[in-house]
Amino acid sequence: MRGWWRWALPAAALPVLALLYWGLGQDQRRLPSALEGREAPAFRLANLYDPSDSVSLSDFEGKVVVLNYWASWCIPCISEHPVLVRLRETYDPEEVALIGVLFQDRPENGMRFIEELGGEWPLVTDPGSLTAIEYGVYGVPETYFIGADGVVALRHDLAVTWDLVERNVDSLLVARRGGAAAGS
Amino acid sequence: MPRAWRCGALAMVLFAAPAVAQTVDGALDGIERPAAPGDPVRTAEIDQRTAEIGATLRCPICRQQSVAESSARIAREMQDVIRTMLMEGRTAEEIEAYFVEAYGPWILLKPRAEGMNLIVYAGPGLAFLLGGFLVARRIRRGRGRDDEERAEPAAPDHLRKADRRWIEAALRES
Repeated sequence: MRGWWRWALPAAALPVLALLYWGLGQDQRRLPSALEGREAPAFRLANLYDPSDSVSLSDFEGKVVVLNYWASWCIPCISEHPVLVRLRETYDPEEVALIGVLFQDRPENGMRFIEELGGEWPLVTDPGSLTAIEYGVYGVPETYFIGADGVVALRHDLAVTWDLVERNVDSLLVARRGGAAAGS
Repeated sequence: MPRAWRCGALAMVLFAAPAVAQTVDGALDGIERPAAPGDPVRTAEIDQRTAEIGATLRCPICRQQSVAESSARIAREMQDVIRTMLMEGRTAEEIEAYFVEAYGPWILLKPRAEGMNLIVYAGPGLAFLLGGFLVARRIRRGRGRDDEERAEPAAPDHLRKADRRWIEAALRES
């Protein structure tokens, strides 16, 4: 009974050490997303090629949306670009929409990037990064996988890989088809 | 109207105008005027409040710096958003909530005192209390031991008394 407090100190240190161990095990570059599981913020942004035209998230209602923030100065964006091209070629645009949002870049640089690397999907600009901030974007590339119900399923903050895209889009398509079957 | 009357009326208007203006200004005191671009007083106030709110938010790029300190472009754009929201009449709490909704509580440089964060706030206080308790206990025990030692005669005295008693007894017997 007398020496109980001799155990109290190590016992009190245990949670601190456990917390330290857990913290050190975390990837500090990965940042939490507050948007996952919540409805994607609506936006209407000017078309990169024709500023008088605009693209809105609601234009793709009922579709799986892959929203990709990119820039011509971003090196990982170059490495992930073939994956986005493959995504556009693989999936039916009636089911899966891909939207590219140019982040902190000049439109002419963005257009040159697409000219060189190819890509046929809606591309928009985001002056003042207003939409990027609303989505909680930290940097580029960042990709949001949005279900047909408009809810953000995943935010990926590094260059996407084909495995990641396929896994998430397929899963959202299954949910979309399930939802459509239940609705009919 | 005779000329004299017209002059008198004009003089009254000229004299009364500043007073009327003062009354109108006084009536507007305390009423929030809409911010106009270029309004120097308003802009200085908005700038100050923007910096104050920016100082509470973490820069997403330079994560150890606040939005107000960082020179990263996203930080400057976040400051523009804060400024616009202030111009729209939003409160600091509403602006903070907006950024927390987008980025999560991570964006706050000072975590909210809720959930697991309570450990951060209460931990040092609890550790201080526990440490104080242990130190006080040690001191109390130390004092108790000193009192006991003071109450009992010192060991040499004991020996001397015993020795004296033994010598006295031996003398009586002899």
